[in-house]
Amino acid sequence: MYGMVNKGVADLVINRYSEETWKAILDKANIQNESFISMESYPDEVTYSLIGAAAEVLQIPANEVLELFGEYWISYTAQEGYGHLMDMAGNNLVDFLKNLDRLHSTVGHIMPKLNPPSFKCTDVNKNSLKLHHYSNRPGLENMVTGLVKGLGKRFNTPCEVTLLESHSSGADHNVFLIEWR
Amino acid sequence: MNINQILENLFPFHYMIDGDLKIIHAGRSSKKLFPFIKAHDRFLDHFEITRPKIECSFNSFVESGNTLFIARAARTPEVELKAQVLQLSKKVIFFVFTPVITDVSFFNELNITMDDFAIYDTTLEMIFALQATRKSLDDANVISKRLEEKVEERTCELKAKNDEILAQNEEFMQQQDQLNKQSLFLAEKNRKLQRARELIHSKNRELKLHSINLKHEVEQRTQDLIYINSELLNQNNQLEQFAFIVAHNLRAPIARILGLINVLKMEGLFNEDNEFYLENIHLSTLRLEEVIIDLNRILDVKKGMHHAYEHISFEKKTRKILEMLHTQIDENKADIHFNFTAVDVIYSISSYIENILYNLISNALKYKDPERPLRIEIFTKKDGDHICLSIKDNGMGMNVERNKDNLFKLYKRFHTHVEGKGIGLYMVKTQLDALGGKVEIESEPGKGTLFKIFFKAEKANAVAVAI
Repeated sequence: MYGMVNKGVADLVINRYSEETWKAILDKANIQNESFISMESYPDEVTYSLIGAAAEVLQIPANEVLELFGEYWISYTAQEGYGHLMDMAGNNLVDFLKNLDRLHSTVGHIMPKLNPPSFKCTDVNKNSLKLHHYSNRPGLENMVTGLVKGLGKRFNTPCEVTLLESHSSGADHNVFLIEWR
Repeated sequence: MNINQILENLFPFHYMIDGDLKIIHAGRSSKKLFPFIKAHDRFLDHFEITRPKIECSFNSFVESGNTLFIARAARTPEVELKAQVLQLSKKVIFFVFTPVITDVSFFNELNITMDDFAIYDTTLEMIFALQATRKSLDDANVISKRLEEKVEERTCELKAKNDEILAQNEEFMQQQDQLNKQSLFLAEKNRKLQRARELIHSKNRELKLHSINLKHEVEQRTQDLIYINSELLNQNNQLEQFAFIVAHNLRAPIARILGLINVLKMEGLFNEDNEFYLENIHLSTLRLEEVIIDLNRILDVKKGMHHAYEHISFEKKTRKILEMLHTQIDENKADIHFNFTAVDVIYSISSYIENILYNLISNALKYKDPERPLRIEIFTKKDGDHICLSIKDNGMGMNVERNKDNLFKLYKRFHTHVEGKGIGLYMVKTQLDALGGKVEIESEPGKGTLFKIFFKAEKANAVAVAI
């Protein structure tokens, strides 16, 4: 994954907890390099190790850490200077979700090693839609849940996210039901 | 879908321009970008063509169909457009463009979204790439700053460490210097010690040798002394034996000679012819008898025979002697004082004490100075381990230095104007020797004499306990 993801994890821990907690997580994950470069590609194991170590140090399940991170990611990318680009992806939850795949595709062109996930919206109704998530990386369902919840907050549209199908239960991709009022 | 819809979807940013260069249609995204441009507005009123450098006419536009056009909006937003001109008909050209924007907020302000761009349009990628590059530069700057800080910090640490090492080095150098000095000092000291040790060894060897020699010499001397002592004892015994024989064996013949001389006198056998000789024989025999008597007394003292120790009062003995000598005392008008308050009683041999007092007091009487009345002082005192009996007079005195070797010898006399045999002081010395005491004399001609008789004090202590 690109360094921006690892930086996001660091920012989340430092903002919500403390610098010392982040150092403890780095120690736990046995990672010497504390500085990540946003556009530099790092092995996926680094990110997985950080999430695992954070779960141990913060004493919360890894799935919760991932959801927390997904939600935080929305505000983090905006803060990192991608807010206007995100604005271009839509000014409401549904438009944004519909452009999610184009956004990731755009990013994928710029970051050739990113191997970004792909998204598709189906069953779009007045108060719900189904979001299909295709990824080569396993176990990131909770991150997508957090990400969608984060978007709901960004557009002041609180939403419920339900995992309908998942890799872990044998499906070829994850399907989320997103509901809002 | 008709051609217009297709063009609309493929080229959301476009204008259709007629032969008079008036805008006859605007694409959906063009309207969002320049909402103030209305149909029939002159194209050149809103845009300035900066490339290519052509005369702005319908025909020249058409002729430049395969050329990149750069147009700048004449009023706000003064955005630059990257464009191409296509001829749709004889009187219509299609001006298709994409805005050259690097700041994405520009689109946000105009509510232009991702959907307003053609799918193939890479403007968004470019904008994203720019932002990512900016961010990466920021990251690199942050990391660079951190690295600089770390380098600075590390440099400071290294400098401090270096200073510390330099200081330590300096200290080590000083210590080394000091150690070298101490080492040299110690080496010098060691050399001196070694020399001293060698000297001591040498001296020890010499001393050992000397000691062995001394031991041999002492042994030899001891042997010699033992031998000499033995010889002396032997000789002494022989002499004493001889003296004893002389003293005893001559007494009877002398008595007979004196008896025979008395018989000759009584028988009237002295006459003019022989009287002189017989008188001289008589006198010589008398003197010989005196000598024999003296000799007997001396032997008596030397052998310590028939004399027992007892408690003796100096005062009583003195009074007795003064009584014995009262004639001479009276004749000389001697002023005699005695004081025995310090020590009066002594544990000794009565006859010796009596003899010592007698000889010394009678000597004082004999050798009075005719120029002044005689004064004699007799007193005792404690003197360390001894009891000292002093007899002091203001008589004639004598030169002690000159006579010291003969003072206590038998028959030695220093004044001839008075009668005497020269046996008194000899007897005093002999008896004191027998008692383990000693005698000292201080005398000066014309001033007087002081005899100090020292008796061993342990005898006195014994007396004190006994009393």
